[in-house]
Amino acid sequence: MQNSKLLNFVDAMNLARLLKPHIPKELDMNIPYLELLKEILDSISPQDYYKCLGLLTVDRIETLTGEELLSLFADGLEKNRLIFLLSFFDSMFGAKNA
Amino acid sequence: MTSHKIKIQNKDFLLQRLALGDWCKLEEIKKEIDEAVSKNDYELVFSKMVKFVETALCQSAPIDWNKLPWFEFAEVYSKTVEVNSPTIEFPVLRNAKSDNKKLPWEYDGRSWYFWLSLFAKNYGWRQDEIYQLDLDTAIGLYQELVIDDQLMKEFHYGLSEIAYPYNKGTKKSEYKPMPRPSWMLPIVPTQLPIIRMKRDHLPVGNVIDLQEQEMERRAKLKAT
Repeated sequence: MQNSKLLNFVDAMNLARLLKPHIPKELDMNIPYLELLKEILDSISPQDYYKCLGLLTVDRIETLTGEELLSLFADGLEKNRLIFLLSFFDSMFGAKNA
Repeated sequence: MTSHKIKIQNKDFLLQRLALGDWCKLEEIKKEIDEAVSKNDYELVFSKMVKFVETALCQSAPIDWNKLPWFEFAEVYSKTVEVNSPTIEFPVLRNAKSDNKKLPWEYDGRSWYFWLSLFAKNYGWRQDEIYQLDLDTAIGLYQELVIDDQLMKEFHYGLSEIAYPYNKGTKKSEYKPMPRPSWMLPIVPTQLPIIRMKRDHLPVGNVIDLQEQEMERRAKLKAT
């Protein structure tokens, strides 16, 4: 299984920017992680999905199966504290991206 | 200058509460961060935030900030902001709004010259004395100076004719107090006191309690 990485500040902000259009406008901080993940996966475009995966790993993703990619994506978002990241991004760049 | 222990990459570092002179440098960096945020330039935001943290951090060893997980860095940054914030809730800072409009006489580093001019003029202190002040002391003294100034202005205003405009209705001149800044106005109680009323003072018919609506209206006004 591929390991996702902990992102630095710049990569994390880029990840949040990619994910932001696919999350509810009023983000509930108590939303279960899996529910939020499902919402993202339902609406994210393949291009954005691959861009996110590119940020979340240092390895080549071309050789991985769909399931492995999904597991990498889910693990990476959880590791990088997705809900906290989105709320931090909102508080920092929210007004500009509204 | 007080210090606070902080852990970064499992090493102990000291985060300083900066004296006024150095704190002004933080204020300048904050402006640079705001500018970078408005451009959505994450790399620039990050480099300015690093500069902000490093200004207040006693570094015994270099830190590779790029290798730090984003949430750890965010924590260090917010701790730096917290340590270098006023510890007293000064009324003068209440409802302080900044519209981010640059004044014509604004320039980089003005924050320090503002404090220097304020205290040198009013107390005759030297530059190094002002530089070493704690932020709480500086803001507290600033508030006292603003209050003194306002009360003095009110006294002079009360001696002039402008304070007594002619009321055509009553055909008398009535005292009109000089307006005060919002933070000097009486504090409106959030909970209205319950007063017992005599039965014969109560209105006749259906009584509609408008207290809740009034509280909502005030809350809305406060939010805007």
